[in-house]
Amino acid sequence: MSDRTRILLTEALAYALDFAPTRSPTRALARTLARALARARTRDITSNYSLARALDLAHTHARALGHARTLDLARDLDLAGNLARDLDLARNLARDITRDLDFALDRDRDRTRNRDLDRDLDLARDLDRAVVVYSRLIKLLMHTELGVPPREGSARSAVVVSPAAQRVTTLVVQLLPAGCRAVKAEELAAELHDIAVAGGPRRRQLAHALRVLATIVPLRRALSVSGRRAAERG
Amino acid sequence: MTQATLAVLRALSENPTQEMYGLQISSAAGLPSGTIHPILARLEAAGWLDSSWEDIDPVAEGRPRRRYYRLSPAGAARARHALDRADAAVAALRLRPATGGAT
Repeated sequence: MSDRTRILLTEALAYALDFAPTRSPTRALARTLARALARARTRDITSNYSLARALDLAHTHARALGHARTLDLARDLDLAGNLARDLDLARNLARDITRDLDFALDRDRDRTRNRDLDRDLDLARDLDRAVVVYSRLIKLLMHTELGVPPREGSARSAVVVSPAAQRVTTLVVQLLPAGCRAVKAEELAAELHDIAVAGGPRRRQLAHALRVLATIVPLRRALSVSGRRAAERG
Repeated sequence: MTQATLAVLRALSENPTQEMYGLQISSAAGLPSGTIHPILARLEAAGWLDSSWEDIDPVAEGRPRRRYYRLSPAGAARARHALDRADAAVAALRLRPATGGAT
């Protein structure tokens, strides 16, 4: 296991333990994650099964956390209507992302069985990124402005680009092939800016960014193909 | 070809010489914003689309440049063909006589 992966999984574990005292399902998941981490430490991680399993567990745990915490947000704030719908949207998007990442993990596991060491190293790097993105996404959903009602009477003349949406698009860009990141970063920034200029509230900007994140797997695949063809053309 | 891809092609084919940026395309195609990037990337990789940056100075304008897309000449022809085929398939379904009933 690379040091970076180990650090990330350790962070995910610490993150889970923050919530462990109050939630028994989370505590159980955290314990399972800790065991997976301990096992993974003792193994040569080019046997990628341990890594994939640990990531699966991290996934499960993150999903459970996101779900429980989002529900709590809605309940604690006693907000109904739009906010509840937006939280549902965020939760559904998070579920879609989880599914996409699961597909990616499955595909990458298959690749691991058949490809050489270089491919495995690429896979490990991609999975590292997936862990980072997913844990940050869940943190984002917990701390984002989703729970904050839009300000009344705020000046429309000022363009307010949602920091949470910007963070999500930054994560999207990190997951893309290196050669495409600069282009997509500026393109996505322009889209958020345009939504803000059109008077789109921060929640709409965040929903837009999450939809982009939800399509990260096909987007990455398409851009990889595009990059390969460009390289072939020289 | 998916319905979403056809919707994007239809939006871009309305005026093939006009450049459109992502939000315009998703709005014209009736798709949620943020969902069309994989479609645009696939079409561009296949040579159906050309893309270019908006010609502004981001510092002077105080905003990032938009990425504009339009059908390439070859892409416009292929898009027309794909849309014609899709329309023909829909028309064939509409014209198909109802089955069942009295024999």
